[in-house]
Amino acid sequence: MEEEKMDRMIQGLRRIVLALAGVILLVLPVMAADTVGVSVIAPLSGTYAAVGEEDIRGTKLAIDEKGKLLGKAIEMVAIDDGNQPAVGARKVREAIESKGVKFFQGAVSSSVGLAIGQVASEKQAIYITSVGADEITGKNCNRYTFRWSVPTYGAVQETLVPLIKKFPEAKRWYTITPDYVFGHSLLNNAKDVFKKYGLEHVGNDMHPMGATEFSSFYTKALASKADFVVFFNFGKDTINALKQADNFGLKKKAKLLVPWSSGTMDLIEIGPDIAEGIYFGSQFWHDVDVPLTQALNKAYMARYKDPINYPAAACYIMTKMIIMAIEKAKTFDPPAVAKVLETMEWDGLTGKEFMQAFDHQTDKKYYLLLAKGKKDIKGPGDLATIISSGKSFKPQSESECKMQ
Amino acid sequence: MALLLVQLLNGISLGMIYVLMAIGLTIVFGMLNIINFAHGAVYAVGGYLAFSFSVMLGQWMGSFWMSIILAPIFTAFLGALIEVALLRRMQNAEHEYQILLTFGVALILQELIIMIWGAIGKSLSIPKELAGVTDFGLFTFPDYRIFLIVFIALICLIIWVLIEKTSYGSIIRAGTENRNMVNCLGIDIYKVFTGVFALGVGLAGLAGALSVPMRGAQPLMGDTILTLCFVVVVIGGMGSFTGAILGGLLVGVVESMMALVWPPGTMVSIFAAMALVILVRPKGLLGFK
Repeated sequence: MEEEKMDRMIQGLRRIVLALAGVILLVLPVMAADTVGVSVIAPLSGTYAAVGEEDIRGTKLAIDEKGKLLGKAIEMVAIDDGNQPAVGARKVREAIESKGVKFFQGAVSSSVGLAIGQVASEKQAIYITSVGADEITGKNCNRYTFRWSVPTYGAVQETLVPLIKKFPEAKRWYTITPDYVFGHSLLNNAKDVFKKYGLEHVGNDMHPMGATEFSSFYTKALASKADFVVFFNFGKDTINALKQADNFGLKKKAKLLVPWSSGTMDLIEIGPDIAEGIYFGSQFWHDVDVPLTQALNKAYMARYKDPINYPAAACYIMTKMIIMAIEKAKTFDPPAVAKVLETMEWDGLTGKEFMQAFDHQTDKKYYLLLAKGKKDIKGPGDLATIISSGKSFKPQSESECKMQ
Repeated sequence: MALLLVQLLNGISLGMIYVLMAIGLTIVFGMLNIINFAHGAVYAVGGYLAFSFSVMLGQWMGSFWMSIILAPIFTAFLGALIEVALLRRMQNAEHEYQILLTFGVALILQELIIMIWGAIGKSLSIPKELAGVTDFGLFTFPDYRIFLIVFIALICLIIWVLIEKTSYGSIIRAGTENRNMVNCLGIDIYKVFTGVFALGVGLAGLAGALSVPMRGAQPLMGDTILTLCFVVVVIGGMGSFTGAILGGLLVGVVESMMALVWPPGTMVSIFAAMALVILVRPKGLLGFK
């Protein structure tokens, strides 16, 4: 008898718990209805982990600055892509399907960016990225993917060409390339430039991402009597490569160029002794005479002491672009927001910026900088001088983008 | 020709770091029968401690020497702590549990590093006196890597003398062969265990400290080196001192030469070499366990 009573009590309890669970599940999505999710996709582990951390900082700055958007609170949805396209794509899909997130920005690795662009197009979610591979706004362009950063074509044009003009006697160029989409993209663009200006490409070394030994490349570069050594890597790879280049006294025999750097992040980590005399290309520089940049730098420094770097700035502006587009469209509906984005103009971080409608590429400047040595540094952010800046984009007639 | 020479020299300098790590790993295995999966993590701890000491003492030549003495000592002390507090309790447990324990310690140390020093890496400059390159006529080579070769060779000599020529060393050698007998002879084997573990871990810490000016410090720096370390010890033979030296130099030279000939194949060739050694001589080239 007692056992029967116990059984029935347990049965009753089970039913109540299940019912509660069901109610909560129904209510949960509704509870989130007064927030809008804006996602930042970033690698939070591996070679680009430090960059990922900066991405999150930049996103937070933009969200905190805005507060409420069309009456809803903005929720940052951080997605760790671990630098793997499959992982990133899967997590984005999950975010769209189970959390109803429709606005994404970020990714550091080009292969991840390409994968997420596909998901965005398929699921009709907005995606703004800062990855480098030309294909994002080239043959892989789509209605829902946009890019803020200058693609590898422009990065190479705005760094190599001014240096070629500045040092006409430099005829022998050596390149070091990370063996994946981004690296190949930079390399191929550079090869075109070498051919155009009749320069000798005396050697290239491919290395796996996350490599720690670059010593053999330098012995080869020195043996080839290169005038310039160009580093197509990024993040930790660049840091390691430059440190070891310094070990091997490479700077005494050749000039060094990093066409796509993370700006202050790289310079602060390697320190002025190693950085001195190295040329850096950057999408962004905290010290330019642009009101938004000055304000952003102040806000970042108030929180994090150091001047703001490229990854944080990129995620800041991309998040802001999403916010601006939603405000202008007066709706959270992705197709409408996409339409606004593709003809949008705004006060950006490099001056007035605007979106090219035919390929969803932002028209903006790219900077070439020369890092300063210890004796020339006058303050915490004074790490480099801007040698030149400009805009280089393939004309519409040469674009491989077929926007449907 | 010059290129080959440079790569050989480079390989030896890389190999020396592996040698230091492998000796630490191998004497711990030989004596305590423990495969220390935390070896990479203590290498990282040594590196970060060296960075911190260097910064605290200001970056001049003296502070570099201080940091490469202090960092291994502190790391060794950490090792002794780990051995007394954790490993000793597991000494009668099966191998698998000890491995799991050291693996857990590795994860804890890694996360502690991130908590204390942050997830972004740290840099250390090579002291000015060692920062130049020497011109060997045919080629130039960084002074710091020459220093590594010479310094680590010296350390190996000291360790060899310790193991072969001192009474403490004879206890270690005897304990490696038969620890129960040593215990029966009235020697407190447990204190010896702690000492040997601390020594092994201290060597890893030294390797970490020496490698930071060359490669910088990252939280996950222990992972890659651990894998290579195991490869070295497998090739050289678990428990063999000279095997560790041979294996370390071999791996270093192969890595360097491959970077010249076929860079993507660097890791593959090292593992292929290991597989070959296991097939031909399962105990390693000079191993006996």
